[in-house]
Amino acid sequence: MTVAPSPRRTELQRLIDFSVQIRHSTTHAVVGTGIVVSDVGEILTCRHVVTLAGIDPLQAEVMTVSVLFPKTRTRSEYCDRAAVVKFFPDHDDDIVVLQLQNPPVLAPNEIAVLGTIQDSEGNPFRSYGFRQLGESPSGYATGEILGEVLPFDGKRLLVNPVELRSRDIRPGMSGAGVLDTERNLVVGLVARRWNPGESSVNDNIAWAVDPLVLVDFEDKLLDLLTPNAVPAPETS
Amino acid sequence: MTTDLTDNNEPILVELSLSPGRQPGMEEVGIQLPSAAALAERSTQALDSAMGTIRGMAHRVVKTMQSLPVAERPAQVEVQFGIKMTVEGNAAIAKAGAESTITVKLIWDCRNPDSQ
Repeated sequence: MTVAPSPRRTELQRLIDFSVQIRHSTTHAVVGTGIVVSDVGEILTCRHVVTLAGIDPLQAEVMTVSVLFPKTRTRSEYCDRAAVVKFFPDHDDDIVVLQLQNPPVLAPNEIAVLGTIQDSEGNPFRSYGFRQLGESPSGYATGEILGEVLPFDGKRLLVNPVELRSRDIRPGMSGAGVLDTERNLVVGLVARRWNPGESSVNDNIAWAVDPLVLVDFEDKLLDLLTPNAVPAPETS
Repeated sequence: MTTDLTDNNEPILVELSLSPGRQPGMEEVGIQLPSAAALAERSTQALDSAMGTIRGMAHRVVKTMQSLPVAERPAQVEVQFGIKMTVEGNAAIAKAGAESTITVKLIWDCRNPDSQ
């Protein structure tokens, strides 16, 4: 695994460039989103997405999910299989690392530059995931990173969840990157939302996983976390 | 969402629509793909609910007609309504057009001296 370069950049990371569809292992139906985080084809997504894809991480040695790189303006569509290579068997942190079996050649813009939620509280965010809205299979979310909150009841977490304010989070966006548009870092993975039902109360609350939890994998994934903020785009 | 439902060896296709009327609560935002068994169960539930809706509607129409004096009762009554079935297995009368949810057509036979 290589350290993602973090030169001073003048363009905001484009979520669509490094977001991939996580699909069911056999039916190939879309179950969630993932983000590419290294040039050797490592992908972050939520653990529950992998479960929805028909994979039990505890028994995932030979089982793989289907991953689709959708066609964008800079790349062609590409399909591959990926295995779960990192997860927390003794904790409920909703994150796993997938490894593509035959990763394509990835340009720098196709690899997310990660950070942690620290220093992002109160900042605006942008996200992109594979939620179906009518005939549109993907879409964006915007909102505010509110900050760290206490663990969910009954969950044993290594790192506390992050609360977001957004009305745009919909099923299919689990595993989508949370891009702090001020720091220009992906500082979370969308994981949950409050479904308000027919009420309008709390209809703008969602939660994300802080990539800080990657340090608990105790390997070079730590290197993926950019220690310093990447400068936000310069405005003219 | 479409599924096969085996009932008396006859497959019945039920298209189930998403309902926004779910109970409030925290939810993971992956896409849950219902199992074939769950789809069959919800289809059965939705069909049972739809049949109950039809039975209830027919009963109310009959009661309404019976409440009319015999001489004023139409010769024919035609009621049209759509039924929407949700993934939760519920059925409801659907809004079919811009304004109508139920269309009622009453026909009197002017040749029958009892109906006019």
